[in-house]
Amino acid sequence: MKKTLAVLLVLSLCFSLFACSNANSQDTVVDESYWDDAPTMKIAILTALTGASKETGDRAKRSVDYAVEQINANGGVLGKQLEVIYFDIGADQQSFINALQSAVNTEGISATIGYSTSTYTVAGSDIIRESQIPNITMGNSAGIFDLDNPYIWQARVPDKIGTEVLAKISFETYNVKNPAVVWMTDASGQSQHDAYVAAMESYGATIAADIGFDRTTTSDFNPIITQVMDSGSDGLALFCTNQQDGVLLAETVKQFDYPHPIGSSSGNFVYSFLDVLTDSAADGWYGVSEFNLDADIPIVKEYLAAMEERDTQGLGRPGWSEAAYYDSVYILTEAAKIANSTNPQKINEAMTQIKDIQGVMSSYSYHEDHSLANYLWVAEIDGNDIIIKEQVYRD
Amino acid sequence: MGMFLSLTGSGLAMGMIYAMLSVGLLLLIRAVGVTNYAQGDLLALGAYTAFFLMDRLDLSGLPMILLMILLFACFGAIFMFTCYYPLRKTKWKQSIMVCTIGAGMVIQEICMIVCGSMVKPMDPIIPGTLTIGTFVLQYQYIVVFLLSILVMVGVYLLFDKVYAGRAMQAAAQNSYAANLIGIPAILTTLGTYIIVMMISGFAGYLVAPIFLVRTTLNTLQSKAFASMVLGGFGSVPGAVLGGLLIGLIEAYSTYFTTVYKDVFVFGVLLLTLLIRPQGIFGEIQLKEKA
Repeated sequence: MKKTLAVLLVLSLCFSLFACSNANSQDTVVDESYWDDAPTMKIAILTALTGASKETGDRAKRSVDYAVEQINANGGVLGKQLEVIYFDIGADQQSFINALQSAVNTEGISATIGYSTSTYTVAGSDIIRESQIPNITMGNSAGIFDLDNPYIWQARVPDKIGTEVLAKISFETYNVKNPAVVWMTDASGQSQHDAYVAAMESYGATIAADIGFDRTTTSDFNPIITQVMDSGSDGLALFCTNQQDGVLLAETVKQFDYPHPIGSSSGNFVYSFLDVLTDSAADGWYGVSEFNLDADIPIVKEYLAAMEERDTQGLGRPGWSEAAYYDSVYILTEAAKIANSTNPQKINEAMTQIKDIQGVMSSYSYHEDHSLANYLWVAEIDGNDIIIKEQVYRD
Repeated sequence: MGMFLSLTGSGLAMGMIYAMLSVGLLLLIRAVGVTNYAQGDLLALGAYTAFFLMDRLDLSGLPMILLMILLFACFGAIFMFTCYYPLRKTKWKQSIMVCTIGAGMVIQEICMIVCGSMVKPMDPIIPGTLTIGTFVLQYQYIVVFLLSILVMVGVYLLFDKVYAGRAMQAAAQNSYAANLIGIPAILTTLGTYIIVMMISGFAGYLVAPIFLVRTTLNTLQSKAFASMVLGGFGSVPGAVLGGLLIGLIEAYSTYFTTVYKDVFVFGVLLLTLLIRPQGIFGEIQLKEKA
């Protein structure tokens, strides 16, 4: 009896493994006529539906669902309804890889959107390349460009450009000649740090303190800010996320009452970050903002009104990330129309013909580096509000 | 000099937090022979509980403290009856340890479901910063240090001077003998779990204003383990001293590197164990040859 059960168990295991290995893949099941005959255009959305970043995922879902409703109400894409499938990237890189693999293995996927962490995109690059399915990522670090992956597209202005703008205004507007730089040591932070230091040194500035931190393990920023206070700097540049590391840094800097101008990466110019801080801890910060909620652009006003109406979970004002998800849906459907097909390879080729699509976060055009956004905004934080100073187009 | 004193202040405060966590770990190991891998999650649970009471129920002062103590007692009881009691007679003792790993994940998810997944700030007990020249230290660090000492003194008095504490120690040493003389082992075990939850939860309430209310507070647990080992496995004074040393090493190491500070901390731990494997206050156990 026991032997029989053991044999049955082994056979079940073998059968399960066999079934998994024969999971549908785009190469074996889907051919050209599939794309013409498919009733829907499918886009996979990679975002956090569970875990510590769940609210980020809820925001993205709010935006994407709205975009899908609008597109389908206007007749869909090439006569087909647009369908999005959400894949939960969980709380870590491995979960993202699993979700990405699952997405590209799903039958009929024309494109994928997500995620906003550059490190994850770099880690998933090979999967995207092998799948030949275009991915629009919200990450914008130099590491993504270095991959030279023809299927990865960046929704945002590259970190390098945004950080060079930050350095320029630091030096010229805020008169920072001797900054302290505090930066997270992942792909995005490294990219911003390198661009900022190079730009500041090209202006003749000297770096007073250069302090990296691991954003996943650093909880206590007191030693770091103590060193900044002791460095003799006349300005501070912070390259962090708007998650726990950014909040902790902001609160710590506030506690120390740092007396000089503080510049920050674009990721912190978002209300979901400011609304968490106590006592307007980021008051006075300057930098580049990727999303102008006060822009006098009809699509922006319409989008904001819709987000407010759909805010059943108390998510508050939208930020650049969910605006980028929204715009990415439109970019991909526009590429499908240009290609006259929902075939992922044809959509990928058509992305090179994207020009001046006005979105919510920015307008979008093809650039050789595979980034799409055309402009961003110089901004300052006043209390808990983001005050836009001027619009800056990339050259 | 100012920076050195600032680092010393923050190091001592964090050291006391590690000490509280490692004392909690030791109490459970002594009482039931269980290594609790959810100790850091209990600290995070304490932070979330305090946040819930202050932010969602708008409580403060004594009512909040009393309700928090009551909730910690309930959580301690629930933890014991779910992670230890059903498995107490198992032949595979590691099952309880594995259960605590699962319990940690459950605690994290429940906290995020109830309070949301975004990090949340919490007002410090005493806001502001003590600034004397180049010496800068948040008042909250001073509060953490002083209140942690009070908690440690309280635990010492409980186990050394109070009958209930002595009964718990007796049951921990030999539950069968304790039962024979009328000390109910199940109640003493329950008491231990409640005390551990109170210590960890209170530590969470103290660190939340500095490190925010978030599930990743559980990463402080690794330093608690290091404190326990450094101080000498099984020694409560050793756990306290180990915690303080780990806190100071961590703080001072940031003067040289902020990215590799954990390398410093665990490097010193490894070096100490190479030289003195029983830890600072531990004793070498000699095994008799058969």
